[in-house]
Amino acid sequence: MIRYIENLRQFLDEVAEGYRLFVPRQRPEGWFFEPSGGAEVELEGYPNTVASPKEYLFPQNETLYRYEAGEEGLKYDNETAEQTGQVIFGARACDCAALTRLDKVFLEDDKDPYYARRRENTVMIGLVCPGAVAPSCFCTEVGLSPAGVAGMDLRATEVGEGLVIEEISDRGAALFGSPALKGGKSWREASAEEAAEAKRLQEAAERDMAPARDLAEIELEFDSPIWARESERCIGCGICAFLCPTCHCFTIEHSGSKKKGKAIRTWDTCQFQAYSLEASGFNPRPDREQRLKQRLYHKFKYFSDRYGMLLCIGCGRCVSACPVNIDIREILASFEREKSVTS
Amino acid sequence: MQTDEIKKLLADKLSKGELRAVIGYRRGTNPFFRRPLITSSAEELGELDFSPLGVENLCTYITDTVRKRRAGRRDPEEQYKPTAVVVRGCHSRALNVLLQEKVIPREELFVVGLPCRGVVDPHKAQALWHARAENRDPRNVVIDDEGLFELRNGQKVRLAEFEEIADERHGHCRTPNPLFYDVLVGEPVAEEPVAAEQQFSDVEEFLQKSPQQRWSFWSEQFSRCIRCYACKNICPACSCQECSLAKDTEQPLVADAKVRKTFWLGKQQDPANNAAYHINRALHLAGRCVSCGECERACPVGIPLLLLYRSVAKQVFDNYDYEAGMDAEVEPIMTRFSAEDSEDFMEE
Amino acid sequence: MTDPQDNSKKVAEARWQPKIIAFLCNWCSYAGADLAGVSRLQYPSSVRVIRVMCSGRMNPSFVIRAFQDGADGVMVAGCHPGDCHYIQGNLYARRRYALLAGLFDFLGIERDRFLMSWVSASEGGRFAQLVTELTDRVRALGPQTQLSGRDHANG
Repeated sequence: MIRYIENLRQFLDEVAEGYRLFVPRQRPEGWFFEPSGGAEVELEGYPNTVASPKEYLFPQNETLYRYEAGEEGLKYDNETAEQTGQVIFGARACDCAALTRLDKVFLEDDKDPYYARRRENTVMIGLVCPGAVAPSCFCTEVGLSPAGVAGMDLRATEVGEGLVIEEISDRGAALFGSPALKGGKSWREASAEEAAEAKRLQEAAERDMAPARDLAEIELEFDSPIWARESERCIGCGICAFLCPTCHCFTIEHSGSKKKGKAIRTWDTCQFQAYSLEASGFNPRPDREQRLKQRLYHKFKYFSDRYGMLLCIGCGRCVSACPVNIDIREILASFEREKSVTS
Repeated sequence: MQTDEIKKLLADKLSKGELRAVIGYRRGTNPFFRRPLITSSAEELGELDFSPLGVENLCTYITDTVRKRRAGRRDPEEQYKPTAVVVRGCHSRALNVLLQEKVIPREELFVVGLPCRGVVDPHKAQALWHARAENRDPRNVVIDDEGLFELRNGQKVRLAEFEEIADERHGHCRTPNPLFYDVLVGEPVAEEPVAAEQQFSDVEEFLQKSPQQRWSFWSEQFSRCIRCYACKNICPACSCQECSLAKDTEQPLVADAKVRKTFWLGKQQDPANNAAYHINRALHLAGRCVSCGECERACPVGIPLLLLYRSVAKQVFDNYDYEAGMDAEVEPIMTRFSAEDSEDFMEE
Repeated sequence: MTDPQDNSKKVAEARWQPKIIAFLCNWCSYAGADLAGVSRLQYPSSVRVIRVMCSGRMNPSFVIRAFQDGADGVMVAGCHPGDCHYIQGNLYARRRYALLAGLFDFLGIERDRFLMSWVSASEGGRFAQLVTELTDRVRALGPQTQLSGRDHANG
């Protein structure tokens, strides 16, 4: 069924009765996803959030297990992810598509139980973009769309004063069967005109972002001088990786003592020097040049070679947030130019 | 000297092999601030930009070069040719700190002083553009001394006056003119900078809050920290080979350094660990932070780091009558003491 | 960080005993603490002493780390100015810890949990008095939560 929501606040208020709800909220520092009761939601002028919603499925810190020394040796206690469901409302198409990439990493082959549990208990309600929402959006250049549905459970399009909601997955459909929403007080079936208008807006958004190039076609060159030139100004922080919706590297730390403690998984990044440092002291990626190369290769070659999809989803956060304006779109364009010059 | 003459002079020196590299600003793809230009190629110097969009403290690349050198990557016997670096007033203070701390000798610097009438605050400019522009295409952004404009059908339409996008820091800037230089771009700024006693009005305003309000504010700020270390990495004062606060992520650069077992902080990103990181760092910067504000600009989640570090700078000024980076000849303040230092904070 | 309600629960349970860490310099304040013990002066057993050679050796990171690890109060004591075994270590410490105290103030971190003082080798009574005072203050404040989010094991 295609539904229409007249009053978003009322709808989210009802959702919040049965689920932990996270919506984008504007702060002086930018937009961030925050827990919400629903009624205070205000999405006027909403572009995209500073940090991606991946933290709700893959938190920056996750306790993997606790241990305690007893008479019979160490006792382990597996920390389990929350059982109650969560709803992320307002994630953009790019951020939802990012989840399909994370699914490949965490759910194919051996399932990561922490991610899997959260994924099963999360409903992603994506919000269609009116076009490019941020200065560095480029989702269409990586084969995605501002109105795309990859990774979504429900797709919301702003039509008139309310929203058209389309079911994308069974999980999304099931949301409307939940006790909080079954009654249909905050939603109704969409009219044919409303559904058609949603489709028109989606197509207009795609036209607005017609891509200038297909970044999947670009061939990177391992020994190019471009890497040294572009990495020269890199300060080696973790902004690009930590804001990126698809970066998923982590490290495991232990805190506590021999008697009692826990293991914690935290985000890590190949952009930090120690990431690839070996116990001997040798580092296969000692310079920022190699680390920048690693980042681009992972996003645009290694991952797609293995899984058939680019790891970069074109949200542009790394571009906007880089304090020294390292722009991966520009780097890729340099390789495109190199190729056309030499070929 | 006019900017064209400066570019010619630097190009000349580079071609003759008198300079190792030139570090300045150039246009990039972000319309709200300029990108660092680090080059040893004279041809690229045509790109040099001296507009108020050149915000970054380029001295961080001096620190960086030296860190790499200490790692043994360069020949210790080699005489290092000077590196040219473009510095605004506060940046020249940062250079003084590096000179004080013997990080780099004066002979290895060719200082291009840039008198500063205020820089753009990229976050403010972007927010105003986002709120007021008709079309979201960043190629239509124009920022100059007059303000923020949007190009509509080839016409400049004003979205904000320069004052609206200017960085507030200029209000408490103590050194609009570089304190030392080899060449100066244009004319020095004539206006009197803020008096030393008046420079910390931002900190004084914050201190109006009650202790509970203060902690409520800071714990909320620290909870947003994602420990990306951009603040530390972009800071020119942070020159340690191995940062004690990021030991988990930045191991020693030299292969034969001892692996130390103590960790001051884990990677765990939670309000308490985050607070510890910021408190420790603020103390490391006592008497060394020159209020350039790069930490705050780089922070992706908008923590008001400049306010935090300035609170320590205020203490240093109030207690010891000292401002970081004003004089390269004096000993750094925290390496000294006075018999008259206050014991007000101590228990009787 | 723990809920304030957890705090009052803890104190009410009266099972909570404050943990005070005292960094004492080897030559003066540690000897002073020793004298307090030998003289059978009463002072709270909540204090754990860490001996350092000089208060000037003390890094403010130690104090912060102590709080991170769950200390409810931290004390730093050294020789009186002029008496430092290393001539001036305590004078460096004085400057350093003034800044730390001021920074705690600025951030709204409970200032009463941190105490610095001079204790000479003959001031056993003074040591006992300072520890008692700090413990009383800390008891009134309850368990420290501002910097102790980090998990700390028993013992």
